[in-house]
Amino acid sequence: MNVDLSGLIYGFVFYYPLFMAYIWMIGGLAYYFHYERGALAVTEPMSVLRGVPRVSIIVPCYNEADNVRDVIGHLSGMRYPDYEIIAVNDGSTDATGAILDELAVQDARLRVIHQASNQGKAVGLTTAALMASSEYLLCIDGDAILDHDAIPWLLRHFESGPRVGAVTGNPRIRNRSTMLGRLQVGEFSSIVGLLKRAQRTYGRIFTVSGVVTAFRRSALAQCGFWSPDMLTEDIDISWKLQTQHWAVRFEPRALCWILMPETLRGLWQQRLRWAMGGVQVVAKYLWITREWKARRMLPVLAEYFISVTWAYAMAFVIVMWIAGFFIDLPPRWQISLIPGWHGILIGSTALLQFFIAMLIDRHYDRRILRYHFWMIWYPLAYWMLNMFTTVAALPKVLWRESGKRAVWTSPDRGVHQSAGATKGGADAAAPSRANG
Amino acid sequence: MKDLIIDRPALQALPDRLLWAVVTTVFWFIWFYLWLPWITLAAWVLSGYAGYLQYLIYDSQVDNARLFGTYLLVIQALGAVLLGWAFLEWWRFHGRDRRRPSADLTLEQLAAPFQLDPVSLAGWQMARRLVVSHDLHGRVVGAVVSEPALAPR
Repeated sequence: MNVDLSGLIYGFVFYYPLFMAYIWMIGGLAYYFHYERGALAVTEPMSVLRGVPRVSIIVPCYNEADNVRDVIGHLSGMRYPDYEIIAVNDGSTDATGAILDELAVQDARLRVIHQASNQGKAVGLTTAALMASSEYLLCIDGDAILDHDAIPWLLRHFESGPRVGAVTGNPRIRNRSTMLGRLQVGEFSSIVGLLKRAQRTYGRIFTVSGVVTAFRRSALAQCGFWSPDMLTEDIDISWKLQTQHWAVRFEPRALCWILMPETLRGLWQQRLRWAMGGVQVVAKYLWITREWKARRMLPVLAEYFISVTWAYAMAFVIVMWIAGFFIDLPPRWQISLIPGWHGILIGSTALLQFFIAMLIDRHYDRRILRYHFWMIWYPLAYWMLNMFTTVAALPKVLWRESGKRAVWTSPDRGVHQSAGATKGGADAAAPSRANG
Repeated sequence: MKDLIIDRPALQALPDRLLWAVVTTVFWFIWFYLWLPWITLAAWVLSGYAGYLQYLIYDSQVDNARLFGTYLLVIQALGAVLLGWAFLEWWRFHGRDRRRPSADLTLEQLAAPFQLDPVSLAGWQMARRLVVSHDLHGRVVGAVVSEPALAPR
């Protein structure tokens, strides 16, 4: 049998992101019309709850002196009657610890846990989960501003579903001064929000957003809490819960305003860690291919696996394109990356996906459509970034010491300030997610 | 919400700002140029034969139009599979939860996997300020409780 290998590879590079993009759009729109649109009319979030269970808001902080006052100050004004704030100072080397102690004197709701040394976000979260006085834990990052009405929106899922183990909120980008910041505004709508909606339509999600997720403590206890060695603790906990048959949901009205890198170096560091974390988790959960009870996670696993394959196929296409300038390749292996019919089709699809995602998210981020202008760059700059980070991530994960503690320092937080910090979040980790 | 958004391009150097704006605008024009077949196709649909001729001449895209129809069929099929699956799952499980509500964890259940003393854990859960120590694997091994106080300046 004569297999046209070049046709297979080039076809895969084109068709996979194209058709996946439409699956995300169809799934996202289905979620919006089925689950989301009706609740937009609710003006009093507390009315969606039957009871008022106590909630512990957990904020892991590592060198967050620049942000922690704003973050804790905002949390003090949550529109919910019964909650505590647990700030975890993860062995910070700046003034974070002293500031938290000072804030605890002023705010009786704030409790402070000082970890004697830097242990990483997963250990900080597990420690806080043990010390919390409630069953419901709402975890946010040390530089994230939680919307005042987020608690009831998240809690209602635990009330309505006894098998709900986690509910992830809707992270929105705060810093939009540069092109990179603006691109991420669109990315968090199109790649994070729309994918989560589509995955919820299917029934399983790849990852919660580490920056804003509520958990049921008994579900966490059953699956052994967070893993200290995983680079993206949010992907890992999502898989732990779902493979233990706990449901993980998405709540678009639980908003959380976050800071993201606005330098290429910072973005590369962050995305490389996300890609490494994704590969690490998928390798850890390969056992589900032999477990009938975990079969509903198989499409999610397969989608990620194919995305990583796509990254390598795309890298191969680029290599062939460059080689074509120097070597006389056989006609079937010759390829051009100058956009033609195929390029336009996939590019237009990407812009359509951004438009649909922003149209849905405009209910929560009213002026978001103005950023669509900048999305023209996404297919070029961001797909390439995600492709290269995935290609680089796989060997780094394979050669990473098994069980090594995951401790990292986050990159810049945009041009308004610069600081290092512990920070989570592993959405948009794979290239096909970048593509659609 | 509005006051949380940091959209201050002035924080960048002026040349950087201008460069990105100009390059992005140029990119949009390139895209419009590449979209000519689509625009021509739309013109054909809206205005008839003359547009069709132009479309036919432009890079012989009629075959691509047929291909476009095939893509639409594939997209419809994929969408139908996803929505069909979602509807089936909703129909089977909506309002029926096979898992009974779990009781909140007791202190003993919470403390046992970490080999912690439940009485100590109860005290830590009430504490306003804790200094926690861990073993080499990141497991909590102990905590010192104190009341929050302002650091001496």
